[in-house]
Amino acid sequence: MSETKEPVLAAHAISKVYKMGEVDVRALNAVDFTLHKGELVVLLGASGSGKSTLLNILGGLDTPTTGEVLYRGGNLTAAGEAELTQYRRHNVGFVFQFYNLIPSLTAEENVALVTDIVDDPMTPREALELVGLTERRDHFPAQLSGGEQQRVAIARAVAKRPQILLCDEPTGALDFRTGVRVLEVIRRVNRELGTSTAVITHNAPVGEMADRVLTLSDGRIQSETRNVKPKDPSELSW
Amino acid sequence: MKALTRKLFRDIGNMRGAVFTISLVVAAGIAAFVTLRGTYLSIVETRDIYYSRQRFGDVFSQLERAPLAIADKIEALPGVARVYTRVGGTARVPLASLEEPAEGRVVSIPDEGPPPMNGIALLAGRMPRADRDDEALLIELFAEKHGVHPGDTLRVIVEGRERTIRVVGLAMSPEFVLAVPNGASAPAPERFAVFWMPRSAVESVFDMRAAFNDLVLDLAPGTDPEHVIPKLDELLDDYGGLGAQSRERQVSNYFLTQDLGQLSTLATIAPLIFLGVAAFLLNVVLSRLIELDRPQIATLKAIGYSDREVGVHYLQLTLIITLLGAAGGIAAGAYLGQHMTALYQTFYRMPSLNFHIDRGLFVGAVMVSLIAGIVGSAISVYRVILLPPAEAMRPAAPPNYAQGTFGRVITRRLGTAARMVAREISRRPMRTLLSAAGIGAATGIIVVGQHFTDAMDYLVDFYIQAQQRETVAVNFVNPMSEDGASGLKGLPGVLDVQWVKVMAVRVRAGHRERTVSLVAHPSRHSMRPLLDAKGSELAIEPGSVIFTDMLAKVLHVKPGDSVVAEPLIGDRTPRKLRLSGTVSELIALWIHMTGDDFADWLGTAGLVTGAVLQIDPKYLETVQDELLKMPQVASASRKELIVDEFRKQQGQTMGTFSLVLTLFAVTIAVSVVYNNARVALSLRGRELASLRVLGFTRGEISSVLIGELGVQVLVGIPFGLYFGRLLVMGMVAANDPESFRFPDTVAPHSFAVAALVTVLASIASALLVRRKLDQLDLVEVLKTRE
Repeated sequence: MSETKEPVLAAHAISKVYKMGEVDVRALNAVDFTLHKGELVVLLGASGSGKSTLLNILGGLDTPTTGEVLYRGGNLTAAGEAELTQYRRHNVGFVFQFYNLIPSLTAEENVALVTDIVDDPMTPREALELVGLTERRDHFPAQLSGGEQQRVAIARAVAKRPQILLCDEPTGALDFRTGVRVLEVIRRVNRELGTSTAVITHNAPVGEMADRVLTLSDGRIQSETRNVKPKDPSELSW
Repeated sequence: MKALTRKLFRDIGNMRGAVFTISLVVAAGIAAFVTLRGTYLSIVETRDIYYSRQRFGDVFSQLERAPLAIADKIEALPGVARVYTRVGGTARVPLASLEEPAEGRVVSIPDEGPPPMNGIALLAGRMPRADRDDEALLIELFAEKHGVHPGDTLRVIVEGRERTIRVVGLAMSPEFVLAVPNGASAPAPERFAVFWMPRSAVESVFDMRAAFNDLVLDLAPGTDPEHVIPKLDELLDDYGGLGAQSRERQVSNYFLTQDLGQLSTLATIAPLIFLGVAAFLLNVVLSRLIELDRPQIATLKAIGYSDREVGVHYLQLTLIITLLGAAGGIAAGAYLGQHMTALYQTFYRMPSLNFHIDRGLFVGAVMVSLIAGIVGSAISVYRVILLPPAEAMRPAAPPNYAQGTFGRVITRRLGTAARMVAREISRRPMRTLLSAAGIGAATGIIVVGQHFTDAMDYLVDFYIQAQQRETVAVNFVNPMSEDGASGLKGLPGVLDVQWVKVMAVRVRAGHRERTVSLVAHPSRHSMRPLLDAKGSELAIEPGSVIFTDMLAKVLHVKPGDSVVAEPLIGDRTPRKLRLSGTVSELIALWIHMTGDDFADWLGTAGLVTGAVLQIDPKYLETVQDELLKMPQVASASRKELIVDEFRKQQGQTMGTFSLVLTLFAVTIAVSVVYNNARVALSLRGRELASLRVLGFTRGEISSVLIGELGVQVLVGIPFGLYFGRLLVMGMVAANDPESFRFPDTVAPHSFAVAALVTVLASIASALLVRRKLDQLDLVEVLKTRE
């Protein structure tokens, strides 16, 4: 596919240690990871494998205990809170397992939350059109189904035209059919906008839609597979 | 509109109960601030303009009689800019609308042209003509109270002779902003008439040709009146000077300053309490909101909002609540201020005393409310800023209910509901304490409201009823002999007569001195006994005196010490007095001496200033009429009437005041209880719904929530009673201790009322929340992820 091998985001030997009372918990252990321009990577792992920690660090929500993260050659590890905010604001789109929409804002307003603060965004309507929710734009989160909420969250993430889209268990709270719809939207954004995308999931079949699949356990990358011919989400089944 | 701004307004809409109640408390605080401070500023401003426009004097003195030539000597004193000599005297004004004649004061004005000092503002009619000896201006407030108009005539008794005076105009003067009869401890505008008459007319009435008996001085700018007064007193000694007073001690201005001082204290304390409570409530409500909003805060940060932007978003929420409150408070304050100023206008006489909110006050009110808002939300907003976005992506960890030995002992014997209450309280002791403090503030404010009535009751019961046991008190125009006073006994219906000797003396101890009243107690003084604070009678040791305790304090003397007293009448022979004890008295400073010592010092001739009489009730009216017909009687007042009038006047003002304070306090109590209950409900809704699913009844889960509130109320009330007592002590201390020493005790029933009102307000607000609890949707609560 569009694999140009140009690295957008790279993590070198990152580790993360949490202090839980008197015990140190090593969530990540010397992980190397690279996300290339336009590529769709799936990170597979069970609960507690460290995949969410990795995603948080890549997205600038958290910092590693050791190692470094480079975004287009710039060192995120050395960045302060203000620079990380700018990094998230302009370059990263997040999709969360539980959608994290603002309940008091409509679908369109949730997207506007992002378009209000970035340069050259899509309009909220364009973003909602991309996820097929134009007609639901005036609904509040409580009036939308789980799948619809997740698609609003994706519209919100991509409306800023981010370089990177990071998805944390985007189908985790959804049934199969809805999950597939959401994955289709993610793939469409990846293909049509060329957004480099990382999806984390515990659901192995999702890996079949990726350009590359990494498996994490115990805070380490255990394996890496390259799909010569990634499947269309509609061909997936679990 | 930006999406984040929309979120702000929707959040406000969703928490309208909290927004409304907290705004209400802010509004109460700001209303108190605007009303009290605005009234204070309006009065001060009007007073200053009035004083300067009417050239109100700096030093005042009355004397027996001095030739006009002395004025030049006084003008030559260093620091004196100008001297204005006047002639004046007292009068009695019998009126159909008064059961007793009003006290009158005649003041001269120049025959031609305006007075150089202590000017008068003519409000109706015209100035009196210099060639008429029966024309006068009347003080306007007295005229208003009794329906006297220009052109009317009044019967007036001056120097024992009845005269008819034609009122040709109505006027006011900075000298009489508050109309305080001679020696009275409170203003009484309906009992005090001031007549301004041309000097030539007054001179002939009081036989003062080419002389004067009243003096007003204008001092050079920057001159301390206390430097001039001793020299002036020395000069006037030979002419019967009664002791000069600075403007500060001038009676009308003095009462005005006292009132203003109290107003200013209240204007600081009251808003402080309300805004403190508002800040606390904001803290409680905002920290709950933030706890519930954790995922949203994290999301905002994750999608690129900076810490500052998210912090500002939550700060705006507080600021909107406080500004809403400030707007309501300013509006209410403008309204209440008009009324309060109008209330003062019924006592104070100044031209155009109008309440207005100037820019400074407006900005002050807004700033004060914003400060309360920022103080109340600082911690919460800071927590928002600190919340790391990744941390917040996870739901909050379950609160830690780890219990110590104490907790185990406490909770072992309790049922489930009580145990949950106990654990919740021990986990958040600070919140429980602060809530209790908020409720306590409400209780305390009610105590203050009740105290006013208590203080008045005490004043009447102890000061008037117990220490003034006569039916009628008589003041003589000029002091007379004891025999003359005893002559009153001959009137039919008079059961007993005891003479009263009161004399102004200047008392010195080292470099400290005061002008006070010395009272001589006849050997039989059952109608005017000297009582200590407990109500038991004090005996005065012959050859010694008893001081008001405050007088001993200000002169730094104690029993056993000696002081020098100099009478301000007669030949002014000073005498050394030995202090044998002190007595606690509520009003003014006194020296008590036996009648024998007094006679030994000053002789027995002509020193009886008044008499107190026991009168058979059947003859009361006739005796009083007889007394008032006597030329030597200046006034004869029935104690009963004084008490009634006092109660009527004070009752109205104090009643309104207590009501307003109680309403404000209820606002606080309701707001604290309601918001705490709502917060508890939203934090524990799932927990309580789970209990319902497990089979607990509505009553049982209510008791978990209401139990917690109950504990806050129970802790809050005793604290509030104590706090109220402190407030009362603070307010009492704000009086000038040399004039008023009102008791700071609070009657037991006042404490009970305060506690009861707090409990009722709390129950009412708990019931509001109980309704929400009954409507708890079990399935929905369990399904929704917080």
